Amino acid sequence: MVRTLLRASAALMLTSAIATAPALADPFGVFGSAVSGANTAIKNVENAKPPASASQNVAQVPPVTQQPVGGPQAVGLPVGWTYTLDASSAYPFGNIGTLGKRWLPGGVDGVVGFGVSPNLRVVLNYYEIQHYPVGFNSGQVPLFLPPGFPPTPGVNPSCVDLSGATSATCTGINPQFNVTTKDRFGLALFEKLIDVGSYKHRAIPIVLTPTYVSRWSTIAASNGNGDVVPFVSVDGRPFTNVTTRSVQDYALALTVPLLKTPKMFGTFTVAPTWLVHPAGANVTNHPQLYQILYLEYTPFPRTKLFVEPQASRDYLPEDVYPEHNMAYFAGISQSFGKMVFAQLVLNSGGPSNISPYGVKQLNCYALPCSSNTLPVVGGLKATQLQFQIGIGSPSVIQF
Amino acid sequence: MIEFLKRPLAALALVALAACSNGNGTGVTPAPAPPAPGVPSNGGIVQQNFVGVGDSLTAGFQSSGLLGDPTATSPASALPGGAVPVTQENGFWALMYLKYNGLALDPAKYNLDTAVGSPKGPLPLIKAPGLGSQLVLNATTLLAPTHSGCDGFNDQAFSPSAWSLTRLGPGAPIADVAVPGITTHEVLSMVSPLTGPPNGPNCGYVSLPGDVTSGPLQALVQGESLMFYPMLGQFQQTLGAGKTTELGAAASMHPKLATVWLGGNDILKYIESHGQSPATDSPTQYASDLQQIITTLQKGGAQVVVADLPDILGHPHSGEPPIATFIAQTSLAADLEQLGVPAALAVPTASYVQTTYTKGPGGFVLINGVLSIVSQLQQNPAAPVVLDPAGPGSGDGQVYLDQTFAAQAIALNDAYNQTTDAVATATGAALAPVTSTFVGLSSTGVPLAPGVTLTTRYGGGIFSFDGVHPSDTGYALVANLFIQAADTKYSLTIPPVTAAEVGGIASADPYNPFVIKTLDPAYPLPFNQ
Repeated sequence: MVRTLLRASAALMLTSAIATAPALADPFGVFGSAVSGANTAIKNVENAKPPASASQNVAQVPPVTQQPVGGPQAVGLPVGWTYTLDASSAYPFGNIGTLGKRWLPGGVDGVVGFGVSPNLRVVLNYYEIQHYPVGFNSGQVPLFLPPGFPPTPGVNPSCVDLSGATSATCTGINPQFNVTTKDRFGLALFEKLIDVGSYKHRAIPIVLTPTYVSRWSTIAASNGNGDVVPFVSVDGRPFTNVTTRSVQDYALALTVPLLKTPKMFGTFTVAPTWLVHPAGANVTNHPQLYQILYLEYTPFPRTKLFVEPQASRDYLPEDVYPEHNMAYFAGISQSFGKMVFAQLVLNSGGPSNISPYGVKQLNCYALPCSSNTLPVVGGLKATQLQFQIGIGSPSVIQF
Repeated sequence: MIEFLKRPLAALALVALAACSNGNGTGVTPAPAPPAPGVPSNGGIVQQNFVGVGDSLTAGFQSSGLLGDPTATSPASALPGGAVPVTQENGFWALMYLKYNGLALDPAKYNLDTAVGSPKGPLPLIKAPGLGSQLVLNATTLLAPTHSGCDGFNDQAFSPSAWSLTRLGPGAPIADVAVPGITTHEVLSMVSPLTGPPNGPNCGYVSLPGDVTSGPLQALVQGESLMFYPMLGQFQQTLGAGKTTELGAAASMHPKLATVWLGGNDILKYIESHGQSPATDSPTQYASDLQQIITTLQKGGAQVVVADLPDILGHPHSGEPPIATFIAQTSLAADLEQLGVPAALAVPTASYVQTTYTKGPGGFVLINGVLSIVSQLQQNPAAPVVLDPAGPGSGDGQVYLDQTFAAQAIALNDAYNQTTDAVATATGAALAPVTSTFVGLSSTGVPLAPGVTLTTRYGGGIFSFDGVHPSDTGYALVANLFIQAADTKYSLTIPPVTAAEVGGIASADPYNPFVIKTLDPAYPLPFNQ
């Protein structure tokens, strides 16, 4: 009888009862754009012709009057003003449940930088990414009544089916959670190109990039409240008024060259990162180490293929401990003229230290459950294809 | 007599569970404890030598209410000056506290002039008009509630910030952390009200389509939800909101001696929900939970006295009657007659109830059901009585108990008592033998003088007007069981409540029918044995 009661109670979720969980997955990582500037600088240095005198192996610094757009060969960080502006949209892949696959809301990116010299540049960066967690609306999850109801296996809790399907054991939930997420990043980067030696008369450049990152988000289910959505942390604490994806970080990225041939190029970046301040469910603030490998192939002068696997760390307010995200993005870029480019990127990422993916369980914190239930969110993975078209300084977009 | 008994129906519909178990939709518990007026930052918590863990029985609940304010009056009360009897100061734990600390009882003043009657004392004293809806003797309707169970005073208790407005001395250190309505598992796990204040008509909850956790299930956990903050709110200042459990509060005081009396609400919620209560422990879970409660207190240095439960539905095979609020099918005809129903009508009515509702002589009708029968017969003696207010079976559990289900409830009650005894042995805790004591009381009563014997039947003087919670006299008897168990097991020297003191308590007991008859000679109770 108890089971009957609880099974029936699963039907309660038909309203706004189930506050939607925040999306956690961020397959791009924070430092995608930070790497971009460093790559440009390293590529420019490596593309520079060897000096006439083999002893002058550090003289890669261009004249301060060198222009970044067009003109002579750049030899380091772009000097003077540079910019990039693009618009993008994304299409989700994987099992995103019954929300239904569709193009996600579009976003825009904007970058403006000023290079004081080929080895010193300041960049402000704003970009948006969209994603939808894989599997968020799929599968059966347990329903837990408020603390005080004895946990009797097989009886209490019962379960609900997030796919909306009602089965012999679970009641389906419909409508589904719309956790379409648009993350927004604001970055301030201070890029410093350093020559650390030479090899075969060519400079060996590295780039140090002290960075400040501020991110925030919009989650569809917040009903106009930004990224504030109630949730239960993995350690069982309920939160109702936390900006789930708003965080500020300090980082120090180090990018080193890895590969250079006439058509191939590669770098590796490590970036120790700290929260400016813990928030929400955070319980620690130990340095996290981003690791980014960037490999590029240029079969034609205006066409570029690239892949960028990452071991990234997300430490968002809904995380008790940082997420260890394994992510990649792979794509193709095509330039049109000097200023216009298009790019198609397949990217995917999810935490390796949080399972299962998606909604883990539903906790009812007070009766009636139809207005007092929160999801416990496990790891959130996202995979999507992003199409991007924009204009900008060629030296920055690396054509 | 039937005319006379038209009056108390509304009042007695509120008995027992409704008050014992009464709730806020505060939703999710926030992390920080909100400030409560009058409560210091440390919650007023200090070390206590003697602590009470339990439910309404340990809190001193009586007659569907919890009250500690001696100034309470009500126009509904037929007592001199419209006085409303306090309940908390007369509970067994309060009496044992006085004895443990060598303080004198003052039953003539309901102990209001003792330590337990002080707002700075060990009880979480509740202001007037009290939490719940206390039933008092009424000049015209026999019994009447002092106030609504869903009025503004009660609603304050559901609020994490306004609960202290229901307390006398909300910042004073308390030692009785019992939460009326709480189940055994909730002692370990409940950290906030499980539901909000009633939002429906007649102090009920609105049933939402498709959500069976609304309506009846909310009503089932209303009691402990109403009482949680007034009893435990101040501990959130030190233990944290969302982390304060009754056991945690008790353990934080590091007592040397603790009483643990639980399980009653598990059984009563099982009965009220007709077996569907998800808040009720299975016997196995009960054993695990009770053992955890006892051992946690023991690890903190406490000697623990645990008690089993009365046989709530009695034992029909041995002839033991149920506690007062349950009327055995076998005595229904006689009880109807005593309430004024002519024998020619009482007998066939009882037979009809057995055939239609209780399904056999092993069934029961609750006191509110009995009074409903009387009312219906008054209005139309020829019409069949209706005990299912919302369709077939809807009254089973709350108005009557069918024979088959009653047997299941009795079996669960037995299992709980066996479990309590076994856990007491396993943990080395002292056992207060409430079960066997009430078996004896049900046959002998409490003889006060020749021809003056209190009984366990409804109105008999051992139970209060809700028929579930003891009267002042009943609590005094229970106090002695705990005292004797503690003295025997731990070689303590807590003096018992003496026979003279029991007599003094009985003589001032507002639930003693012989006292009541001096105020209202027409008082029709108690039911005959």
